[in-house]
Amino acid sequence: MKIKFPLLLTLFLLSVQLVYPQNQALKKVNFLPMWVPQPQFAGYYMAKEKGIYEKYGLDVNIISGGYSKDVPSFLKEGKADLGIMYLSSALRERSRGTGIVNIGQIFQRSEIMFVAKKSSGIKTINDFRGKKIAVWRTVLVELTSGFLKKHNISAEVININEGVNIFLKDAVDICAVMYYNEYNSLLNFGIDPKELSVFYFRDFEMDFPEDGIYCMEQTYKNDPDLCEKFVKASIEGWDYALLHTEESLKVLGAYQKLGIIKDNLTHSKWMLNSMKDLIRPPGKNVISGELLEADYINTAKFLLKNKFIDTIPKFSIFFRGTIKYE
Amino acid sequence: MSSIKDIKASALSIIIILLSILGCYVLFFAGELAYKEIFKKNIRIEYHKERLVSEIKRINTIMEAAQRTPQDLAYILEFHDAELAELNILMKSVLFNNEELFGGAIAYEPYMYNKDSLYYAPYVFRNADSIVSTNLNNPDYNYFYKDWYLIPKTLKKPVWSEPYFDEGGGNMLMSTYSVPFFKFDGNKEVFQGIVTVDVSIEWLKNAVESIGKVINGQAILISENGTIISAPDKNWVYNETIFTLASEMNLPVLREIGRDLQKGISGVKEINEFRKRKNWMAFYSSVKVNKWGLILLVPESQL
Repeated sequence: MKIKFPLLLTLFLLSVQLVYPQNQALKKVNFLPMWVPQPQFAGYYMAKEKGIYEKYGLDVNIISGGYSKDVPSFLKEGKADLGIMYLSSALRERSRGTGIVNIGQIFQRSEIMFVAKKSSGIKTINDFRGKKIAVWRTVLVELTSGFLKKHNISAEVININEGVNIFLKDAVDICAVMYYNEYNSLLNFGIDPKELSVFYFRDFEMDFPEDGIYCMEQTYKNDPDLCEKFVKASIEGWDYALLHTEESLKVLGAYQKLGIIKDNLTHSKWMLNSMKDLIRPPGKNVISGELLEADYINTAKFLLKNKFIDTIPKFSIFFRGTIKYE
Repeated sequence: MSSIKDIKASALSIIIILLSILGCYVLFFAGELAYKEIFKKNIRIEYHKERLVSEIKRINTIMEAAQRTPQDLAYILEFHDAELAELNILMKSVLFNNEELFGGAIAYEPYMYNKDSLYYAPYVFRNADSIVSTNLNNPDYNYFYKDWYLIPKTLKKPVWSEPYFDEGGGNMLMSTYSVPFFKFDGNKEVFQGIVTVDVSIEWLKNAVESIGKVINGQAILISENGTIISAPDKNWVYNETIFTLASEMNLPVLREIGRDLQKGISGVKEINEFRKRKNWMAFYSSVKVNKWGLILLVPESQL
């Protein structure tokens, strides 16, 4: 049976009306992803672009991130209501006294890895000893130093803002990168995969989930409904972005041009295509938005063992998401 | 009867001889024409190779000239503690005398220049028709983690940066040449900071674009990592690398050229179905001082 377009439109408008009556004012939300516009955040940009946030009664302002915009500071100071953080960074921040909570876990596995040039003679993690390692100073410090401690490796860690230039110029021997981003940048700068030794953290019992949506506990207590709607709308945004990749890349390209950020379609395609497995890892029983208690405990135990946190907060206090796998 | 036969045989022989002569003549001229074409093509190829060498020399000279000033300044600062006013005058005079330079900074280690200042980095740059000075001491800018500061500091040697947009500094696309400077404390050399000069990507783009017009073709300048600095398609600049173009256009030869340039190898390669779906001959070579690469593209039809 063919469904006529006007009928579909009517149904859509009706659903919009059901989810959010038009006569109510939209709730303003300032949202800070942890980095500049790129496919890592495609779902949020598409939720805004396609009116999904609006459908849920939200007027979302997406703040372009960067290393000078620290998510926990923005949340504490009220410059942002919601933000994206790695689970490990969020746990450490909470241990420092920032009362943040997770309202939805989006990425369900780890994409962090170390890379080294085979020509430098680095083939196993034992070869890391005495070498220089570049690590982002913002979000990877706990995990990388924990990794080195775990394997009893003494190396010189050089904190960097971003990118792989320091590695390509041979100022360091090893670089911490994300598979969906900097690893592909290396290939786009002329390195062949066979020239690299790669060490995925997930292969070393460190498969810790990354991007989650966070807010101050008080924000959640004041308006749990807003938090729930934001997570649901964002997941819908992700569903849309992953189904309409070309359109999503165009939208992100426009945001990137606004900020004079590199707009490279080849790289953006790679990144967006990598998102599917991060959000719904094959073989893992988890649904978008849920933080599995096992993942939480695993990550928290690692941080506790490496003295990045003093205690493990109760799961039900840390995770306030309403989405659960049945 | 026999005489008629003889006449016919003689006529046939003459025709065969004439046809053979004509055949040889045609072959000779066709061969000569082909030879002339090959000869001319070789001359054109040699011309473009020589052109490439002279353009590479020109770019090398520009980059070497840009390098000289911060090298001299770093040397002076290793022996002399300059006042801010003096630093500003030094940097301004550098820009005044070098039109290819956009800006320059002297960035110190934390509390090194002044015990009260975490950040201390006097910076002069071109603004419209004047040269203005400022200080890169905004904590949000935090120059200690910028590639132009951190990489030469870690390597302890001068470095040309990859092209970048200097948000909060020069606020434009640029490449920076950075020279670390040290002081001897009686036992060892202690790192003091970095002297820099910036070359604007726009300026480089204009300098390379003219080459394309001269050779009736196109010229592409790439950085050491393959990032496009100058190209006929302005959208490629900064956004693409020669390796992403290779992947996007399914032209593995572009990746081969990029890899050759990174190794300092010069060469000539055919690129089919490239810009405007034409077949091109690419003449490429690397710039000695910073391992950037220049590619001259000439339509096959013109060779």
